[in-house]
This record gives sequence, structure tokens and C-alpha cells, in this order.
Amino acid sequence: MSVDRWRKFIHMDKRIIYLIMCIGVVAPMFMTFGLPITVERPMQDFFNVIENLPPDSIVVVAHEASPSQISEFKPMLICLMTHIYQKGHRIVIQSFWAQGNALALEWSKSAFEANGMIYGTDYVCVGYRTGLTAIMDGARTNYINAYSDRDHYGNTLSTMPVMRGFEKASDIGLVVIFTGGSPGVGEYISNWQSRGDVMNMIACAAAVQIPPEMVRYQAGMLQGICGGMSGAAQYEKIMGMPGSATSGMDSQGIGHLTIILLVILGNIGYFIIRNAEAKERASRDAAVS
Amino acid sequence: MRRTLPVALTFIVGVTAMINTYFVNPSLAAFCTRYLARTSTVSSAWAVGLGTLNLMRIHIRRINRRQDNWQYSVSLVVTYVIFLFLGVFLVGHQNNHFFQAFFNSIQPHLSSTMFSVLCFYIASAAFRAFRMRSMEATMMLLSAFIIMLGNVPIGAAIFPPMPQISDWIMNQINTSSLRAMSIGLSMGGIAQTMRNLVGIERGHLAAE
Repeated sequence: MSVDRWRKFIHMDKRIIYLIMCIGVVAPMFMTFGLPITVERPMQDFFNVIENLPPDSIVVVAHEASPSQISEFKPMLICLMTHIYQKGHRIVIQSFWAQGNALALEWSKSAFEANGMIYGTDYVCVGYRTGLTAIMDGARTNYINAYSDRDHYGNTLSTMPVMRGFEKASDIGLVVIFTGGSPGVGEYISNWQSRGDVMNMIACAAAVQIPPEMVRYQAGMLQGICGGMSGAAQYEKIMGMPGSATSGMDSQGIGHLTIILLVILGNIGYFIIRNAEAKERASRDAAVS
Repeated sequence: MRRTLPVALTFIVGVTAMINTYFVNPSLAAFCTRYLARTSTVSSAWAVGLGTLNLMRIHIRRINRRQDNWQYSVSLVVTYVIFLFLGVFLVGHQNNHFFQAFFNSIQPHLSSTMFSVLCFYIASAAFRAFRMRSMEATMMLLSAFIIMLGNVPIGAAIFPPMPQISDWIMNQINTSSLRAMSIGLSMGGIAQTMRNLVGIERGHLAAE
């Protein structure tokens, strides 16, 4: 390819790049490659924590997320709700993100229906409250009072079977934190774990949140991590429930490969043009001198 | 007085909260939960209210003056008024089925779309700007390739040790750098808090 063609190539219309990327992401959705998914240690630890919980534990699912995390968090939630329910634990959903509670209920709906889970008996959503510090601090002595004895829909919390024996934060067996930013894992660690109330914490992290959560995982603050769509696909594999994350991995893989190929080609073009320009300059200088 | 009183208040409240964190005293804990934390919640609510008024003022002025892209401001004001009306006046407020249906059919999809579009912008930006101009840029580029391929099954299919190499970069190099940054940030945070607490830092206060 001539230098001029490379020059045209590296300055091509960005809409062509969008089109290439679109094909790279969309095409694998229609033709599955079924490449093997390897379960990594943080995910295996995540799974084992739930497996080893004492029976009839209270599991708080802190869904600190926004709609943009749907592709990662929805498959995680479906596996998580099924897993917790199958192990015979009770689920309390909470969130300090305004949309977190409603999204958790919406994204978990298929798991609730498939397992015949009953609201108020197997799971409950305590709803959104402002004032994270006040709520978390209050929950250390009386969880129900901290939430004014009302759930997401305004029902009385204290009369629900799911809340039996659940008085304060130290009664919680496990906190599963979905973290898409702040507030997230840090707030739960500083308010509940560092004060000795809840020691068992695991995280479902959006891909961008994996690096900071890995620091906490290595320090032992988090016992396991399910990270990004890759983590969701691994969870689906362990649970034997292939879903949107498993099929999404092919799409993500080809998407990554497309970006890498574009960058490599861009660099090849850059070096060819640079060398040609250097040669031109040298010959011009030689002609002048 | 305009500077001394806020500094004194900051000191008293800060020290009280610190004592509550490091020592176990039920009555102090109750005081902090009932008054201090709730004061913080109420202040946040006021800040949100003030922010909303300011936002409306700016966008209504932009519409009146037909400034650039004023049509987006119309969309913001109209959406705000509709959701405010639905949230405040409908029975059940934000839990009303109509409100939920309206919200769930608009906001999550817009937000997901915005996030998805990033993929295309990143591809375009990486193609145009990611060049091996120096040793540092080359190292960054290679690390990015390894991490990107190591996190997807196709990476292992191309080169089987790819996930292990990717994990090594993430667990050893990336995490240790992040840990150092995190500790540094925390130390800086403590120093800044102490400056605020004892009144050395006064930039946020009114002039004498």
C-alpha cells in the first residue's frame, strides 16, 4: 500500500470506524463461538463464600448501581438471587443510589419468578434513603428503625417473615456489594466492617471498578469478587445457567480484537508515513546542500 | 466572627465525630446518629434543592435568550417539571406504577445508550491517538492489549497463557500501584482534614 493510501487510511472518516466497531460487536451476537470460559480465583472465592454461609443467613444485597451497568449487573443479579435462594438464605436489598433499588428488583425479576420467590418471605427491598452515614450508623444498633420500619413500597418491615431475627447490622451473614462507583464498597467497609459489625463482604464490580476492588480483595477486606461481564459469565458457568453474559463474552472479545487491530493498523500507518516523511526531508536537505 | 464561628463549629463537630468513631460510648453514638448525621442529611437535601433552583435558573435564562443549543434546555426543563409533578402529586409518589413505568421506560435506556456509545468513541480515539511515540507509550499499549485480550475467552484461544499474564499485570503491577496511590490519597485526606479541623485551611470561609 502506498504512503498516500496509508495517509488516507489513518485519516478515514470516523463513521467508518463506528461501522467496523458496530459489525465487530453485533455480528458475534448472531453466531456464537462458544469459547471456553475459565473461572478465576476471585470468582471462585466469591462463590465459595455463599456456599459456606451458615443456613438461614441474612444476605444484604447492596445494589449501588445505575442503569448503565445493566449488561454486567443483570446477569450477576440473576445468578446471585438464584444462588442465595437455593442455599436457603434470606435476601435484603438496599441501595444508596436513587435508582439502585428499583433496578435490582427489575433486573432480578426473572430469578424471582423462576424460583417462585415470595416478596416479604424470601426477599425484601428496603428502598432508597438519603443520608448514608446516618442510615448505616443507625443500622448498627437497629436496622429496622434506621429504615423507619418501611420497605421500598411503604409496607411495614418489622412484620415481614424475611426480617425475623434481623435486628442490627451484626446479624447480617454477608453483604454483597454491587459497585459502580461511589458510594460503594469503601462506605460499607468503613461503616460496618472496620467497626466489627459485618466481616463477610464480597463485591460484584463493574469492569471499571475492578482495579480498586482488587486492592481490597488482596487486603482481605473483600472475600471474593465477581468482576465485569467476564465475572458474570464465570458465575453463569459455575451455576450452570448460561445467559446474556456468556453470549456477551463473544461480542466483547471480538470488540476488543477489533480495537486492537485498528490500533495496530493505525501504528503501522503512522510509522510508514513518518519514515516516508523523514526520507523526503533528507532528500530535500541533500538537494539544498 | 464570620470566620471564627464556622471554624469553632467545624472543630467541635469534627472532634465529636472522631471520638465517636474511635471510642465506644452509646449516648455519644446516639447523639451523633440523631443530630450530627441527620444535620448532614438535611444539609445535603438543601444543597440538592439549591442546585435544582440554580439549574432551572440557568436553563430558563438560556431558553429566554435563545442561546446556543437552547432546545436541549427546553428538554431538560420539560422533563424536570413532568417528573417533579409525577413524583410529588401521584399517589404513592415514586412507587406509583405510572411513575415507575414512565421512568423505567425512559431513563435506564437513555443511560445505557450513553454508556454503550462510549465503545465507539473509544475505538475511534484509540485508532487516531494511541501511537507508539515513546517507550512509555509502547509499554502502555502492550499492557492494554494484554489486559483486553486476557479478559475475554478469545485471548486464551489466540495465546493460552494470555489470562495468566493479564492477571499478573493486574494483581502485581496495577494493584500495588493503586495501593500506593490509595495510601497516599488517604494520608493527604487526613492532613487536609486536620487543616480544616484546626482552622488552618480557611479558603472556604467568608472574607473577614
